[in-house]
Order: sequence, then structure tokens, then C-alpha cells
Amino acid sequence: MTKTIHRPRGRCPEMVKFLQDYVEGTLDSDVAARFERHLSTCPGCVAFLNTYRETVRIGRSLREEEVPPDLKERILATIPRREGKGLGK
Amino acid sequence: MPTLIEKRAAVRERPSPAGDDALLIRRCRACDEAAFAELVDRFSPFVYRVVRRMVYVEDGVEDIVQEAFIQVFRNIGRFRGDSALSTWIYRIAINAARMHLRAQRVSKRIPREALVPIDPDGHMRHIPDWTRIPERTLLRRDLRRTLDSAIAGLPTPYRTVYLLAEVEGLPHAETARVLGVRVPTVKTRLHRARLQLRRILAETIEEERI
Repeated sequence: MTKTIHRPRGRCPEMVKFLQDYVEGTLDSDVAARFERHLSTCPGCVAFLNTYRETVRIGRSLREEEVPPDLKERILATIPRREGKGLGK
Repeated sequence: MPTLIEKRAAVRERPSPAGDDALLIRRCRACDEAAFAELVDRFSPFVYRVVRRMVYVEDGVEDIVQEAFIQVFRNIGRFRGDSALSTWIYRIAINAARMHLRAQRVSKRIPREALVPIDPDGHMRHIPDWTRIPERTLLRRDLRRTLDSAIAGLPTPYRTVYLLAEVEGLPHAETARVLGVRVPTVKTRLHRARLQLRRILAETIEEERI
């Protein structure tokens, strides 16, 4: 890990506004090109992008969580007995 | 060329065929047990994950999930198809979790000061690039657990959007429909939640390295 902390420069706050759309791939191509040009000269924004993107990746990995193995059986065992026939009518 | 994130999003966002949903609904209304099982099989993992992270309690999550499905089966006869079946079920699950949270607040089991306020300007904090820590270190493996815990500290509106749009990968438009908010609201809340969580991950790493 780098110990260097790069202070934001004049254009960085403007660039940060584009971050979400850039990471989600929805940024207009012209703006994306401008964003990338800025990245090529700004290590601070590169660090920002890396940590933002990694936060997204870790967040999405939480979907891989296992659910209790008996959950479906518990739901099915309870609902028909409580609701009986003619559901929702 | 689509990025990896775009490819993953496309996989997650693939909708189920509306015709299949209509048939499943008709079979459930006719008390077809195989249809109940199919519906539970398809939606219970999502409902469980979202409810667990919405309420963050050790016990009682499965009761809330069961209650959500009771509502689904009780009301499926009145489901008019104005939205996708998934959207309707997700909305019921979120409402079941919200009811539980409201009950908790009444009994003051969650002190308000325990909630982490969203910092809209948090993006301007100077955070070192912690992504350069080697993947195999214990620290990196712990980040997933840290993030999971940190989600609990997000204010409910942000947490709800984050769970649906980020963790479960719903498209922004469907997240907006489930929650009854506008798409720009979803984007703003998701972005701020990410910034908050990113900052917490960075702080955790800094604390671990001291």
C-alpha cells in the first residue's frame, strides 16, 4: 500500500462527480475520455477510483452468502398450514 | 467493449420471462404446491439476504422472511400485474423488514446515536490506495466482513438502496420501483452509501496497520 496521500487538485471535485457513472459504464464516451485523461495525470483520483471500484466489488460479493439450508422447507411448512386453500382469493 | 462490471450487471439484470411469471401466479392461486415451492425456491434467497441485512439481528430473521412469504401467498390473488412479480415480492420483503425496524425503534433497541450519519462530502477525504494490499493477506479477507458489518450503520434509506442495487444487483429502475422513489434518488443514495462504506474500509485498514 502506498503511504503517499495525494491532495485533490482544482479539477478533482469535478471529476469525482463522474465516478459513479464511469464505474457503472454509463458515462458518455466524451466525458469518459476526459475523465481518463485526468486520471493519467492525477494519482489521487486513481487511488480514489481504485478504492471506490474495490468497494463496489466487495459489496457485490456479499450476494454469495449462503442461506440456511432448511429455510425453504420452513417457509413451505408454515404457509400452507396457516393459509389453507384458496390463497389470495 | 463492455467492462467486467457491465457484464456482471447484465447477468444480474436478466429479467424472468413475464409469461413464466403469469403461469406461476395462476398455479399459486390454484394452490399448486409445486408452484409454491418454485416461488419460494426462486425468491427466498433474495428475501433472506435483504431482510437479514436490513434488520441485523441474530434471531428472528427467518420469522420475518416467513411473514413476508405469508403476505405473498395471502395477497397473490389480488396481484394485478402492474409490476413484475419480482418487484412486488421485493416490496413486500422490504416492508416486512421495515415493520420490524419500526417495532425495534419503538422499544428503543437501536439507539439513534449508533447510526452512522452519511457524509456527503466524504469523497473529499484523502484516502490512501488500500487496494494495493496483497489479496491474500488476512486484512483483505476481513474487508468483506467489515463491509457487511458497516452496512448496518447506514441510515435505513441508504441501506435499503445499497442492498437492492449493489448487493443484489437490481437495476436502478427496478430498485426505484420497489422503493417508490425516483431513479436519480437511487443513484444518489447508492453513491453516498458507497462513499461511506469506502471510508469505513479505509479507516479499518488504517487501524489494523497501526
